[in-house]
Amino acid sequence: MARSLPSKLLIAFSSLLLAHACYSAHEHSLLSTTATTPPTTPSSSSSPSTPGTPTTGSSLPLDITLETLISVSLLLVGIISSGWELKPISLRNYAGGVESGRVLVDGQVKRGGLFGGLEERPGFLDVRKQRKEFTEWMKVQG
Amino acid sequence: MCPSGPIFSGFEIVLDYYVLRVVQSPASIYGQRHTKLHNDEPPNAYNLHRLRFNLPPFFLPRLPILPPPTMAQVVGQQILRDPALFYWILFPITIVMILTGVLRHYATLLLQSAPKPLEAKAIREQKNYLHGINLRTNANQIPLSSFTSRKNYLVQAFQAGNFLKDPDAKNKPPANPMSDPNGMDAMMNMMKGNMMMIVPQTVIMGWINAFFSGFVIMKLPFPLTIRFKSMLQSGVMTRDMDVRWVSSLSWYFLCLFGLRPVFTFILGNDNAADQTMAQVQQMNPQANTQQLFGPGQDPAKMYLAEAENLEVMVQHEFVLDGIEDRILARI
Amino acid sequence: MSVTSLLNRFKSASANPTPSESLALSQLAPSILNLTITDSPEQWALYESLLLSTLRTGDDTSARLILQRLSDRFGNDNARIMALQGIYDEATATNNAQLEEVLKNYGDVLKDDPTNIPVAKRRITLLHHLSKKSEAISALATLVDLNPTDAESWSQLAQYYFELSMYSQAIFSLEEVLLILPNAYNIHARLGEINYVAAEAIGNSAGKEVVEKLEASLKWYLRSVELCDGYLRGYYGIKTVTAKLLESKISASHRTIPEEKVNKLNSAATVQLHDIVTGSEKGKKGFAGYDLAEVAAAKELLETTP
Repeated sequence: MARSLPSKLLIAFSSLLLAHACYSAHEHSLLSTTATTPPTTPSSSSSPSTPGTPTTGSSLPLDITLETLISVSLLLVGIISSGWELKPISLRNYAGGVESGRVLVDGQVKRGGLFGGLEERPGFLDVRKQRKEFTEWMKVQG
Repeated sequence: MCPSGPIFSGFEIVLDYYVLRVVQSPASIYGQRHTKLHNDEPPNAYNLHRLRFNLPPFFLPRLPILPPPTMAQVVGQQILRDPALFYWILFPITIVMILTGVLRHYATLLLQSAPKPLEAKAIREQKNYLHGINLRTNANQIPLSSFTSRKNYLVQAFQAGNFLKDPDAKNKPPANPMSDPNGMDAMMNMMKGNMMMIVPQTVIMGWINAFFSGFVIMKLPFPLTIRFKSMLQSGVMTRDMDVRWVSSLSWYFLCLFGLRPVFTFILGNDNAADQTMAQVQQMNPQANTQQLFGPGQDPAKMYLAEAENLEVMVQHEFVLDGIEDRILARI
Repeated sequence: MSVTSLLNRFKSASANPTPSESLALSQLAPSILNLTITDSPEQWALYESLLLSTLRTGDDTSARLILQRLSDRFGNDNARIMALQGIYDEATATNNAQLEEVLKNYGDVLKDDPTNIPVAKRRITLLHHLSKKSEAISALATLVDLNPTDAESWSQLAQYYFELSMYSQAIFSLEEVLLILPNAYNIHARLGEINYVAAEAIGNSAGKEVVEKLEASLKWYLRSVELCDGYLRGYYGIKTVTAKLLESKISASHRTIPEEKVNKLNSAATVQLHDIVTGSEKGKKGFAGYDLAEVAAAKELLETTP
């Protein structure tokens, strides 16, 4: 698949941004865990209001959230615009493509079009006629 | 050791010879409950299982005893598990399940009988019914005059029952599917398939129940809601155990339903009816082995209904009407 | 070469390949027969195509070997194998007496099992080959009564009727194909052709009937182009039929499509044909699928009519 250079750059840049966002989120969660864990002093167990566990649900800073969202959307744009050949979805285009050879079926130009079987009719193959044609052709070829 | 006084509301779980006290932390009063297993003499897998099953000492090696957890460290439940549980229960169950699946696959192949081809009259009955449906769905492809003549012909033939396999049976009630040899064949096949599912399952479930019931063998790495408890902890009757713990019987169920991709990997796609069967079918171009009319359905009634469907069709828009304008508009 | 790529090569050739194509395909026989048999569906499909190619070119020893392998795998009583065996017998028969023998065999098989559709088709083909045309048609009519949802049979029936100049019957059969495959644009074009030929066949070329037939033909061609963009055969038909409709001897009173629209359609078809012919002749990338003989015919049409 051929990809254009700008979309390649866009994909690289947004991947980097996404990785950075992930790393920041990880760092932040580490930081908040160590910061909010209450000291294990005997006084804490006597007062019932102190939670016994760290509060892990502290919210992520806005800049990390924004960075994640922007990097993901840029990545999507980059991938979509990277220039795959889209397949035709209407019969008219698809059949026309097969007919003219623009669209390949099983990696080959399909002779006779999409419904070629209806006019070639392999079930009713007249093998003797074809054999005769072939021998005549061979005679002409010498 | 345990906080005493009015906030203590623990209860006891009896695990055979050991009494484990479940202690609730003070935080539980405020809605956040953190239970922890706590014991006077710390139980370890070694003495627990040895006493319970009277196993020889080499069977479950002794583990280092971890210090009892302090209050601040405890997050959720902790149960000490012997790694031997892993090697002697989790792996055997998994391997046995995979091998049974492979065995069942080949047994099904051996037992399967090729579907009997339909006789000519049955084919004619089915294909002409399809013909009527085709005419109805694609009526707009042909001119009105062609459609009307076909419609009149088919409605008349359908109502007279010209295409029926046995026209005499038109007014009789549908035959009992048990007496129909074709239906009998299909039922026999279905029963064989069912037997191939049920027999090994019963045997293996009995085996697991007899040997491994009551073991907690693994802990899921993610939390789950309480709803999963019955699914993951069948065979272990502890109300308060965290849902993340999985019992041996539940592991069997998880294997039963979750091994499909593994079978696909081992046996290839569509392993229930394997490649060879598909090939033989492919070489059989008359796709007349499948039944359009299921057992118990009355073809005569279906033909009458189709005739009525055709009769009430009043709208006919020929696709070629106005085609020159459509093409000109596009150019 | 792998089985899949070989099979694709066979698939891309039509069922009626040119002699040189047949020769190239049948010369693949030794390399295909030397591949280890993997018992995959692709390989057997490849064997079948190769059998037909070798029979076309007269390589009967290879054909015998392929047929042997196929029947070893699927058994002699498989419907498709029986048909292939029949093709082999037909191809290797040296005189008419042997062909009659093959025909009798087919009849015996069908007496035992009337649902053996591949063999029924072989029998019909052989009947037609032996110039027993009415017998072939009646046998085919029985077949479509047994299985009226087989597009191939209906299409073949239309061909037999067309050969006998029974145009309305041919049109009826093709309409049946359309009921089964409503998007088959080549069948639409075929209907256009048959209507055109039917119009030509009517001697008095100015009557109402002729104009009706020509307009029907034009509409079928237009539909084929609507279903398939850049369909050479469809545009060729449109150009021919519109030229005919614009001839002065066709009286305008019988026409339902106004002359100006016919004119526009004619020029549009000319533009399209011109594009295809120049594109194909220059060997542009998107024009490799067109049949060279068809392109040559279109070029000739463009040169003869302005």
